[in-house]
Amino acid sequence: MKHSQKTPSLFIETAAGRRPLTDLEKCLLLILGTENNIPSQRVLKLAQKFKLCASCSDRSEVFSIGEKLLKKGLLKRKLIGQEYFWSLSKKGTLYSKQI
Amino acid sequence: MDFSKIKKEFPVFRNKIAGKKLIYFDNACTVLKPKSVIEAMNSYYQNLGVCSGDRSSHLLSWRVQELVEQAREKVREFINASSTKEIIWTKNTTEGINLIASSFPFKKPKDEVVLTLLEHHSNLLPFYEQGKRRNFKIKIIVPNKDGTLDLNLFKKIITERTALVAVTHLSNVTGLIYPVKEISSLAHQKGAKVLIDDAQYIATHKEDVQKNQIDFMVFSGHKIGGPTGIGVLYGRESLLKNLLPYNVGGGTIQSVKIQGNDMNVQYLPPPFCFEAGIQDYAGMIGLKAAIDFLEKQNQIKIADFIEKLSLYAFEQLKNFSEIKFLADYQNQKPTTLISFYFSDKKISLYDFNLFLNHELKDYFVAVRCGHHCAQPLHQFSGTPVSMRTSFFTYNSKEEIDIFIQALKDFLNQKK
Repeated sequence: MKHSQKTPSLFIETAAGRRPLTDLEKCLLLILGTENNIPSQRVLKLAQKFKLCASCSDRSEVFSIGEKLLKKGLLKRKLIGQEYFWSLSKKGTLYSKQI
Repeated sequence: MDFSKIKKEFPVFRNKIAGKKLIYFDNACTVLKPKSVIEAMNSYYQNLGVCSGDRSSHLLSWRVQELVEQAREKVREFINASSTKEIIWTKNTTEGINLIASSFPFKKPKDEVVLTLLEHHSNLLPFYEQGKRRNFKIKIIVPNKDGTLDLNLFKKIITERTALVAVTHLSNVTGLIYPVKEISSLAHQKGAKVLIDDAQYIATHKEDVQKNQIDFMVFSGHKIGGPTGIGVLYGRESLLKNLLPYNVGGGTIQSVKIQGNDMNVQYLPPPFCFEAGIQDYAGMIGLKAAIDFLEKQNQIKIADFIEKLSLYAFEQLKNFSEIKFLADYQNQKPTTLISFYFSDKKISLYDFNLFLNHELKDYFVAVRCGHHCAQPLHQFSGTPVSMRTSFFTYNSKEEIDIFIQALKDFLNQKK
């Protein structure tokens, strides 16, 4: 897990205790803070614009991160046709504004 | 061994993933760990947990030393090396290649390395970086569109200036086997050495470094059911002696003397001069257990079983007009895996990946979706990413049927 020193520390609760969000987690929140309710392909396109997202080496990682944030109540995911759409929850919106 | 019962040997299958049964098709990334490997490593930590006898001198450490050297002998036998002096412990395949790229004695006019576009980043980047620093050149052979390699290109590109040819034995993207014996022979005719990336090949196929005339060879423990963090670099004894020191420190030296402002250092002979610092003893012991496990199953039977599964997967997948493959599996035998992508760029492989994880009622299907650390090959193939389904002995045709049904369901999703 990579952590940025340049953005404010945001924390999530895990089974092992409280920990700061990683750059990739912040990346996804930042993307959805820019454009909410977007399909996976659009998420990847926007990821190329953010420095925070650079640690995503094999692109699919961003969606594994999405699953984690979803379980923490920060994101929502919905299958429409053959596409998954990603959006911020209320809590996720608050987090996103702080990045 | 009856492969239909082999799942019981892998504790991970006892767990439910998100409340569902696991179907694991990501074996080219890492093979799951059998009970015997976990138990061997546990036994080291529970009963020993100390340094080996080349450092400490108590009885416990000598027991570790024995286990480590048994593991080294097991690896030697596994790849048919002529001596345990030719077996160097590394962290993984990547570290083994970095060692060669940093230590191989390039001397003008022999200052070229021949690679192929099929290589994993781990077999490209070490040579790219060291080439800049050590001033050697890289030449890259482009595969045919069907995923095969043209030996005539090797004949043209390997010259008197070639010092080293580094190629994969089985691509982690195409899943095809490449003719390393012929490539070795062509390299040797010009006085060059060969480095074979066996990371993908060795889990399912028997390697014989002497028969294939291999000078250097690398593989990782985790891809054969062993632990992560342990790997092997094989090198012919006469060549290892000529490599430059790489990772030096404790455990690598015969003597260190300070003479004024200078140091007089005598390194141990290979393999020890390449094994600096405290080693991953549990990893070595686990790797031996993984090889024992493979041998118990019989590698010829493993190769046959997995080739049949790969072919079965291809036979099902080729019926989908929406799919394109990263190799011509119609004319080239897929050996362990199938990589494909959707020809319609609007359909996302990532979404299909999510679908496999979340939308099947009873199963969680794990595949790999991405560039598989081979971006140049994907660029060549005209797609930035692909989906890779890779197989091992605990997989079955029934699991492939579930995957195929999921693909049908995904493609039939209506907006």
